[in-house]
Amino acid sequence: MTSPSAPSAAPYVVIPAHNEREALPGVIHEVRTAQPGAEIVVVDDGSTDGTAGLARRHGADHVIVLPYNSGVGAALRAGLLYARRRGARAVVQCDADGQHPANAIAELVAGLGAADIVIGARFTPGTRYRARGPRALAMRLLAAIMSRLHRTKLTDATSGFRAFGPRAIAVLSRELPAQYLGDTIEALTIAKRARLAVRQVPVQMRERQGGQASSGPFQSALYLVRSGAIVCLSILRLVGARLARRHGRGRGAGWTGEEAAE
Amino acid sequence: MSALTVTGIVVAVLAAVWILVLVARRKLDVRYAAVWTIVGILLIVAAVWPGLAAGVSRLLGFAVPANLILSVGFLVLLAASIQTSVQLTRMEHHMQRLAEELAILKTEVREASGENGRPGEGQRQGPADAA
Repeated sequence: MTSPSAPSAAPYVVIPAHNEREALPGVIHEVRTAQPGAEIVVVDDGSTDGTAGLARRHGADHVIVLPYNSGVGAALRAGLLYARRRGARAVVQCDADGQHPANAIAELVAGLGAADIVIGARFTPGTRYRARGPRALAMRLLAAIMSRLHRTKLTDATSGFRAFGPRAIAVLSRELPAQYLGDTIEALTIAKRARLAVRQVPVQMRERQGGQASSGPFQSALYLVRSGAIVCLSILRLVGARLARRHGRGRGAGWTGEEAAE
Repeated sequence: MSALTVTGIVVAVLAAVWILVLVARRKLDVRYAAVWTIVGILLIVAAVWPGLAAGVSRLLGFAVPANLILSVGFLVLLAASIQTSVQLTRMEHHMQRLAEELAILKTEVREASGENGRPGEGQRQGPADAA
């Protein structure tokens, strides 16, 4: 554990958690072991199972308790905001269900040297995780769209295992929408609008170690529809922002400038 | 004056008075009252002067004046409802921000008072745990 307020190279590891009693302690210990210097921030997103107290007892450095369940986007945004105010230079987003291996955090953070957002990606050769059905279709489509958008190979646009550099922290702590998928897909379109560089590194993911995944056929179809709608809206916004910029009243400079100087 | 005209005027005046009372009691903000006030005035005008609706109907090609009134009413309600949804969304965004700020503030207060729950430090179950 490092001194709390000094801006340092040690990453802040933000773990959004909603009723994650089972897996969270293991995740905290794993992160602590892999990154002894990291500041572990657990954001309890309105849990009803005492996740916050559990996180404190298992040595999370900071526990932020949202008053009601607001979605992963909101939890991540709160974590980013908190880290930014404490002078964080790097924030790593990590799921509380244990599917993200903490020993890959170092690699993600290292990637920030050449990018503002580094995504830990499944689906790359040599990794095991595979989704099926409409969900897989949605994920492939999203990956293709985001790759085009950012002009780099992104195979896993919905991965919630990411590292954010200072510029990304400033932009996303302000802009990230609260809703489901806001933390993953919309984060990438917002990044595009703010001209942030996105890269990916392959990561070997595990099965989730607690809680339940939402992956019935109906949920998968719903997921396809929702992610499709979000992508369409996001692209509409991008086009709008580009038009506004071209006509001189763009907010272009404001995306990264205004609050970063705070 | 026909019975229908009287009924129309009574209903329109009641609606206008209701809006006024709500505004006076601060249960309805003037900003939102504006649209309803205009609706009330239109209602009174239409009730006092039935020929107006008939005239406008002919002008716009409605065969029956009632269709014009119902169409206009529907559109006004649609616009008002969308406007309400927009306000609601904005409120939700503000509330979300406040919730995050509050949560961060609580964390900072807790840490400043030395109860951040690291091993060996204060571990008592505060109110935040129950929340």
